[in-house]
Amino acid sequence: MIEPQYAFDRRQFLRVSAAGVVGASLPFVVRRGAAADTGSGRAKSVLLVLLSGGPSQLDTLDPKPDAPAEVRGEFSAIGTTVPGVKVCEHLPKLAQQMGRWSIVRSLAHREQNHLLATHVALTGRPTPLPRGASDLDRVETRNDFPNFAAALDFLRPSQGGIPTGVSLPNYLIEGPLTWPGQHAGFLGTRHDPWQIRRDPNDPNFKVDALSLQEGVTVPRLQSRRELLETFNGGNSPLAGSGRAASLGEQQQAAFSLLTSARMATAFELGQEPAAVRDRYGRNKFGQSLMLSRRLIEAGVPVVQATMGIVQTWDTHVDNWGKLKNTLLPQLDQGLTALMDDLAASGLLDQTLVVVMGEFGRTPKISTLPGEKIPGRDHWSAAYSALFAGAGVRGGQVIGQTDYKAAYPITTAWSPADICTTIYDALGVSPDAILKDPLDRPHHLLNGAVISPLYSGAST
Amino acid sequence: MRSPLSKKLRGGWLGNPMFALAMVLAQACAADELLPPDKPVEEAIDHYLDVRLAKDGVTAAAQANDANLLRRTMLDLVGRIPTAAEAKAFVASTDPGKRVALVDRLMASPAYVRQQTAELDAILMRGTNQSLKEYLATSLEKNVPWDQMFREMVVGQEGDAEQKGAIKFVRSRAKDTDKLTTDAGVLFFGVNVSCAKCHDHPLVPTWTQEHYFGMKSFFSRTYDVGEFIGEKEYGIVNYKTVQGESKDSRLMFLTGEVLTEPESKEPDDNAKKEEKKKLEELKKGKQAPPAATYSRRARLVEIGLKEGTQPYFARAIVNQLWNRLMGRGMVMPLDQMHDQNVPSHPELLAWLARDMQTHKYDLRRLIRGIALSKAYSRTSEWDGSKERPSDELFAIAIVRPLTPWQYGTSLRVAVASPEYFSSDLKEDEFDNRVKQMEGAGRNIAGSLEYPGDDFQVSVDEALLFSNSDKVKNELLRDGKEMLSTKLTETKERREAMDTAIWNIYSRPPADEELQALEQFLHKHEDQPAQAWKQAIWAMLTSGECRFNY
Repeated sequence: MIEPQYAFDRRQFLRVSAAGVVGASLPFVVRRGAAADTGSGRAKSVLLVLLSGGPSQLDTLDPKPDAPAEVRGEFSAIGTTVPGVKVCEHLPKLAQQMGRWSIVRSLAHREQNHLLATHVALTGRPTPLPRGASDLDRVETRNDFPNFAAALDFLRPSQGGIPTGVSLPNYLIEGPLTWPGQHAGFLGTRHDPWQIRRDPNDPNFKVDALSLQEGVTVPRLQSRRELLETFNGGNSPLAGSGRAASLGEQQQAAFSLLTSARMATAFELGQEPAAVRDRYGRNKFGQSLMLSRRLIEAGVPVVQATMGIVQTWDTHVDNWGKLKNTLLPQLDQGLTALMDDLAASGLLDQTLVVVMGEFGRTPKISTLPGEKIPGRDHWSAAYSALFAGAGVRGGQVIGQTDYKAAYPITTAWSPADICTTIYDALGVSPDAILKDPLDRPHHLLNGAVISPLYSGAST
Repeated sequence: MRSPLSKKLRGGWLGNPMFALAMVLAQACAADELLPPDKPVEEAIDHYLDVRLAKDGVTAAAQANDANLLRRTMLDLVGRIPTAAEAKAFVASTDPGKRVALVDRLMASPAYVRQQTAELDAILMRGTNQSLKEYLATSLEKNVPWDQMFREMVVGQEGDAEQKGAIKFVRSRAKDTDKLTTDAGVLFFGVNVSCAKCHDHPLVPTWTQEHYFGMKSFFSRTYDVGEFIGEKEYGIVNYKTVQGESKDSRLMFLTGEVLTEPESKEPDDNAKKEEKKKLEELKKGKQAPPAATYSRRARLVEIGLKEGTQPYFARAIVNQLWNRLMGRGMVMPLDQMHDQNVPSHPELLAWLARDMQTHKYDLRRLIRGIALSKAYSRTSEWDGSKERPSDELFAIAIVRPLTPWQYGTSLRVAVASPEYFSSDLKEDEFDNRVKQMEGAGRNIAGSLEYPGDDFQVSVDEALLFSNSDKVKNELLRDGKEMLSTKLTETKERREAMDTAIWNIYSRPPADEELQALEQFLHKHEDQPAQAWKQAIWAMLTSGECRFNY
């Protein structure tokens, strides 16, 4: 494929787009002290916990104990601290913390395959190209819409050595397929979130790029930096080139990252007492959530912690075994420790936590051809997510599905609404506009804020 | 489906398809008024660019100096920066024919084939996760004409029953006919019709849904079975119009020309079952299906290369190569070569397209012509006394980001001790060492994105080059073949500084640079080896190493 080429240059694009945003109103109208029943502008950070592969709503947050056996599944439902609200028996800690969480059960969209669904879940809209016959052509491209971190970075470039987005602990990629929705799409590489590709549970975990080489100190780095400035300076044959200038800006950003102790420190997991690490669980989920908390403490605005790799929650086979033996216990433990810590430090008040997959799973239990252990297949007509923090009212359930968790029977909320809720929480103006490569304007906030999260109106 | 047309053309004054057709014809007919075909390519290029410059009242930038021109030419033709010895020799030479000799020598070298292979492969196979390198290397070495390569990539090569050669172009996309249709249109004809899939093209009235599905029809009978592809001899593309009407698509080329075909009959259910069974057997036996006696893909090649429709094909490759060597196409974006998107130099594009056709689609001929033109050898520095002219005038060289291939190899060459590339080496041995650098370069730059018009550097890349074990272990390690060791061991500081600049920047040092280096080395005198490594690191990460300027 040919590199996308646009008939206007990058700077022009930025100028035009910025005009679209700034001209209308400041992109970041932070409305602190707004009415108590909205979350606008209240979040300094968003933590997106992505259950990649699509968890079963029936076997997690939307149990249907009265449904027929071929729908109900093996798990029973347990009560929570909120009367009348039940969750799956393998989320006992969450049940005890229900007062902090808001469950949304009436999420729905139309994409039934992982790649298309991930794009819609993480950008709030379908892939820009019409869907084809297979997954293959909807792999990540630079025509995609930017994800949360990237769009935010475009509107509010990162400063002071803190990147706008950090995603961890792995990129969603398998064979020839790279999941879309993970990067800045048409906004370009400089707005891509910073991707960590190491397991924080590995005792040797470190982020190479941030660990200064042996014998290299910050003053020495500074000295090298000054020399670099000379080579990039007025005498360089590239002085005056816009492209070279942009390289310089990114190097400056990288340098700030390196020398700002805040980021480097955030990755020093060894600083956490063993007891704390144990509380999160000594596994990839738990330690990723602990690292996420450290990144939020360091001031990273958008953190995405993926719970697993591409098909971790894609339980076509052995849905119940996988959920009860590893996935749910680990998630339950990690989320609980996370919420305890965020609440204790007061950060929960300014951090929006969202836990979701790209879709849910079929109400009807099935067994794949050639397999013996049953599971559930893809289902995007109804799925559930958890919200907490930054003004979200805990202890409530928003939305209801039918008797087998197949369709919402109350107002359905879409990925566009989640997207709008997230940007609104971060204080992005509803007027913010991004122009795509065809120069078409898009309202970044393309849905409605899920207002019951704040008002509790639909409980 | 990506780009806006130049805004002034949006008004739709060309809305009439007949008028648009007339424009295409006018462009083709204007051949009489073009410069004579026997003019050297580089002269034709400079003639037409100069005409436009004069018309716009713009004076072109001066010619680049020798060191600059050598670096640019080598990056484009052999994919790497010159060694210090090569740079010094070229600058010192007083031979008036040295530029022509350089271009011819580079183009005759094996590194030329490797560089062209890497770049063409990156463009042709982008987004497929597969490579055509083996095929491209053999073809480019033999200078196989581009029209033949087109045929081989779309229809297949003789005697390639394993389907491991050119046909991988189709095979890697066979699961998705839409992608295959779009990519083939973009890469071979310079047009992206995917906008017309769901509705008539919003900006190009001559492209309708019928065109899209007409083009798709050329590929719609292609299917994949196991590791192979085959082509059916029946099957019609059916689509829904915006009005919801269901339509059978005709086999239609971009120009609107409809091809007549032998009648095909949809087999009955039994025959289909039989066919399915056969395919299953083939799949099990890991065998390719027999070739179709009537191939729609072959028809695409036929009409694409037919007198009259051929300009699409010829102009696309000209624009593609021009873009690669000059930093932007005469038509931008590259995949919007339609009648409402006027080229910056229509006559030059027409002349070069005709030259392509009349010279057997010889890619080398065009590459050589561009590389020898005055336009190619202008400096990229603008003195700033007047307003910088628009890029589309090619009045000043456009600064281009290095491709991952160029960047990786060049970084390795930059940090090799000058002795490693000693001029005493036999040609073969020298080339072997270059090949090692090319291989090792993949480790460093292999994960970078192929740069486009909208080039940006990610934080990841900036961090990689600001602080990483990779850079330290691969570019700054100790060793007699490494620049850092050589510099540390050089007694005279001035000599060492000269060596560093020539080695990394392929040019003589400037006074300010020497002063800054001197200061830096002085400051870190207690650890000279470390100091040199840090200095090299600073130089490697400067803009000069990331771009072809």
